[in-house]
Amino acid sequence: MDDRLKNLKTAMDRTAFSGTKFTEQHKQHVQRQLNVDELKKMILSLLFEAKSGIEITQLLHVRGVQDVVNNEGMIYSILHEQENDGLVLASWNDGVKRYELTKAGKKQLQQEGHVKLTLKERLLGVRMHAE
Amino acid sequence: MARAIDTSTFIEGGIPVESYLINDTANLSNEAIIDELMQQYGEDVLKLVMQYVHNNSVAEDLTQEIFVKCYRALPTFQYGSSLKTWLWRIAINHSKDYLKSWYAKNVEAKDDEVFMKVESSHSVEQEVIQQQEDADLVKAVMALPVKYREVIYLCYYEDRTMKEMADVLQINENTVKTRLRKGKQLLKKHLEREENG
Repeated sequence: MDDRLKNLKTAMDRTAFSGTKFTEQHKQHVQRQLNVDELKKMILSLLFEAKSGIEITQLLHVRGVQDVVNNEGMIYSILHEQENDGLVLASWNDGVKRYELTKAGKKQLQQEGHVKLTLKERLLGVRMHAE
Repeated sequence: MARAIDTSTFIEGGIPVESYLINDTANLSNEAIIDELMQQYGEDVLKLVMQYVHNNSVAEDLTQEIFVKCYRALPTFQYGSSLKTWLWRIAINHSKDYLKSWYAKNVEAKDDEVFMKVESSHSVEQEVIQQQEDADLVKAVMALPVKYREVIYLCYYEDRTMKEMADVLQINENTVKTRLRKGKQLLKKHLEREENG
């Protein structure tokens, strides 16, 4: 049995794994996903204070985030998703919808280690220095 | 950022992938680490997943998810084990989660591509006895229950040691040995039955 199994690699590559290829396309798909992930975190990290969609967009533009330059709609779909997940809370004020982190949103940000809060900030639950 | 690194890592094609990855990790962004992992191990992970799910497009989707998952989990990676071992664990767990999912059991009624491919490849070149034997072997291995199939795969396809297998499967080394023995017995029985009619 052992002798036959030594042949397993060649046998499998020739049969079951023919056409099983990790292509450049797969790679790019993952990379796009990572960018969206980064963007989500970045948006969250902006929302320690309530901000409107336009303000968020402007801040991201200033930071030169490529993904949003011609695709501002993405920001709103992410915000919507985060609202549904209970990470941000939206409120209407003077006809402008503003978004702010909820407790769960802050917690997630911290867990991801994206934003390191000082002890004081953690106690007070606010962000002391804007980035 | 100082990280303790296990230097007893894998050597692939003569280049100590891990060490060269790790040496620069401090300077590498998480995206770059994932890129490097995809470059080095994308195909291996895809095949590993294929071995579990038997369907190319499902395996491709899962593999992409695995790298995204890795990226998300990277901040929690302790560098106590090697990156490769860690990647394999995520891949194995993700594949098994999929197999256990409601979706896999109820929605994905797709054909088993592994068996289809094996069938078609030997019907084209069936005059060669060796190829017939290869096909029988692969079919028998892929038909094993998951817990035997994975150890056979890791041992004979990926050429892993007992310790490495125990490590990536997160089970005891003796359990690995037992399953390997049992798996080979099942294979032998299956192949003998096949060859005798």
